[in-house]
Amino acid sequence: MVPILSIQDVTVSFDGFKALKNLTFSMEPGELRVIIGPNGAGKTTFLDVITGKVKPTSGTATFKGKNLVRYSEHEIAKLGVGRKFQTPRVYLNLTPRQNLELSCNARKNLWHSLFSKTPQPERRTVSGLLETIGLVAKADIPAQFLSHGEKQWLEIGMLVAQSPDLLLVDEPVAGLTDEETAKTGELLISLAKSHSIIVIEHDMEFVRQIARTVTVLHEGTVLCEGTMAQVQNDPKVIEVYLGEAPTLSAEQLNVIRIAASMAWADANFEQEEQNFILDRLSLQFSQDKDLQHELKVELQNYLAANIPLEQSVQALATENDRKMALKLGYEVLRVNGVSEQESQVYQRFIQLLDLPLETVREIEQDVEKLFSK
Amino acid sequence: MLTPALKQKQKGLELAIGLGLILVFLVIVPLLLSDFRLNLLGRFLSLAIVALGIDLIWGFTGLLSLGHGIFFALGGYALAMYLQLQLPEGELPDFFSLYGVSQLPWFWKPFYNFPFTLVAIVVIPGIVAALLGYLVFRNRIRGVYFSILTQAALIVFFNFFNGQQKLINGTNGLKTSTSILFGQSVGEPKTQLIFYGLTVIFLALTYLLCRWVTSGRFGNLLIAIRDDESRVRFSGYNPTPFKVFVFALSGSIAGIAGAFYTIQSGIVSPQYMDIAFSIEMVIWVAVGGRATLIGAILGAVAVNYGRSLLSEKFPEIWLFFQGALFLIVVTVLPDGVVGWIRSEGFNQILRLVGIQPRLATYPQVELDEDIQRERETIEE
Repeated sequence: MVPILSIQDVTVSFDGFKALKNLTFSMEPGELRVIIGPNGAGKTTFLDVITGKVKPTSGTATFKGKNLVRYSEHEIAKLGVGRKFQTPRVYLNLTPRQNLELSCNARKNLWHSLFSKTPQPERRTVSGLLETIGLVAKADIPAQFLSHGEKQWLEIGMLVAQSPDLLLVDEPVAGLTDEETAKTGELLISLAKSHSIIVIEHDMEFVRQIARTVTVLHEGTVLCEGTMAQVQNDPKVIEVYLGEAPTLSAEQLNVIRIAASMAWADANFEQEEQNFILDRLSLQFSQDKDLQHELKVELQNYLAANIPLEQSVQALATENDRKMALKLGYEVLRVNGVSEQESQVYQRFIQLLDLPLETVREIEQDVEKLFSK
Repeated sequence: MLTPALKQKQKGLELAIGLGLILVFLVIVPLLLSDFRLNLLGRFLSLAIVALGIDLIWGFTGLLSLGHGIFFALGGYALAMYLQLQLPEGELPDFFSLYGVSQLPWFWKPFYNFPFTLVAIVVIPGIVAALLGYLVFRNRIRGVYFSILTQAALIVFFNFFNGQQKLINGTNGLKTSTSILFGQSVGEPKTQLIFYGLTVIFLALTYLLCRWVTSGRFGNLLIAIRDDESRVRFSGYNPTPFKVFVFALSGSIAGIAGAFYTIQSGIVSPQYMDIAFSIEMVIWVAVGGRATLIGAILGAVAVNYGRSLLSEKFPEIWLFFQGALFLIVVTVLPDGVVGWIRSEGFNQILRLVGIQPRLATYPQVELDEDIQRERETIEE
């Protein structure tokens, strides 16, 4: 398939500061891609390059086979790229209906704006959109009276009204309530059926809700790309987000995650469980006292995140890893009694691990011995 | 919310009021006022025309032009040149002989022709505005830089017209009051009455034109450009032609205003391109209310009447008064008088006379029966 958007080796430099460094990126039609990255990673500049606001110092950006460098912002918008800004930008003195009609207008020149009325099909499109974004009741009051979330949706609606092929959405859930965030996620997922979408977002919970493929930007270049689980376990990504390289490898981290998910199984991560995991696991991976302490702090940062068990178990490569995961997981479960929920999760875990039954029994007995002392 | 039927009714009412006002100004006002006062009113109404142009470019599109004196003066000069040429065959306007010019400069020649002059009054300021606008807007010069550039252009034009005695009589300007137009002396009260009537009609026409331009999709787009130009760009519009068009239209309107003002004042001179005068135009619109067309008209007429009353009685304090007026409007009534009345002033006035106004809320609240019932019980 021909990529809808392809960026080759793009560098953008502002007075010698390189906001983007040899960035290469490509995206298939119909894809929903999430871009994450720490502040100053170049996410917004990346969108600026695609929408023609900033011209690359070197490299090429092509959209549907057309070199974007040659077009200005409004021409790129007409080619089929819609952009939603970080803070909602709608025309505050116009009503939502007027906002949408301006975007929906197919012939955006002086003559037609002046002499022709909004055609009937466009009016119908706008009415339909107002329903989709839930603004029918407020369609005819100035947009300045809308709430923050409603403005965000109105702006997304304006993008859709443009009927673009590629939607660029910059932080759509910043400042929204949980309910609104979930709704926005659903809206984006349903839009993804008929559009290619790039979403930039900080809210990891939201990213997990919508993401299929995630691209991590750092210092103006692509750090890594993959599923949410892959990206989260990537030591490079962790280093970028936490400011230092993790002392553990990606595989070891995964084992820890599994153990932690055992503790989470009854949807209640008790302090005792947490302390035990921290002590036990730092012992497991390091002999040095100082390092153990450091590791404990580091672990605390990861434990809060929960990842589906299936994904984590699949990522366990060797049998040794799987044994270790089982051992730690069982230990964590044993710490303060096994509840019914926990035992259910544990059964599923054993199934997923797919180890010989004797091995499982052996490990369980080892742990029991440990606790009976 | 307004239903279509209500809207229709409101439109009919507005039309009736508008026609009534035009009739009052055409028939009744001339009977009530002396020739001098009527001439004064005619001049103020011409200034109201340029205020409409300023409102179009500033109030609706958000571009503060401090150079509308250029277009105003160009319209005035175009008409004055035609009137200066109403002489017996072979004679030149008097002032040329003072500077030893025996050959009519080439650009005067088309102004022998009346239809050309009428077109020139509208088109020349429009073209100058379009050129200036194109250069500025294409390079995305906005905000205060645009204002500074228009003011700089104003100074350039002022100095040019001021310095060219041999071409257009320099600082003395061109007199029109003694000229003959269609066998009538321009300065006569009878001819002036006709110009007054034409001013009223053209003010009404300009108002309708501006209303048409600012309503519908184009008007919405102007407001969109004012509120967030880059959003407009990313929605697929190129704002440059829209801005150039509105600036040119606004320039043409200023040209018409300049012509009417010139013929009723009896002279056009480079003073029309005085910096203060162009700033005053902006003040009229600010006082009346930006982005309210009726406000621009009321502002221009009211401020100028105030000026003539005050400066007749206390000539020294007028400038202080004008400054204070601008400060008051900016700090207390940022939306101007008409804007204030439209937003909250009406309710405040109602409250002053002891009527509790109805609170407007969201439409779904208005339609919710439970809330309405609650509201009624509380009010009882």
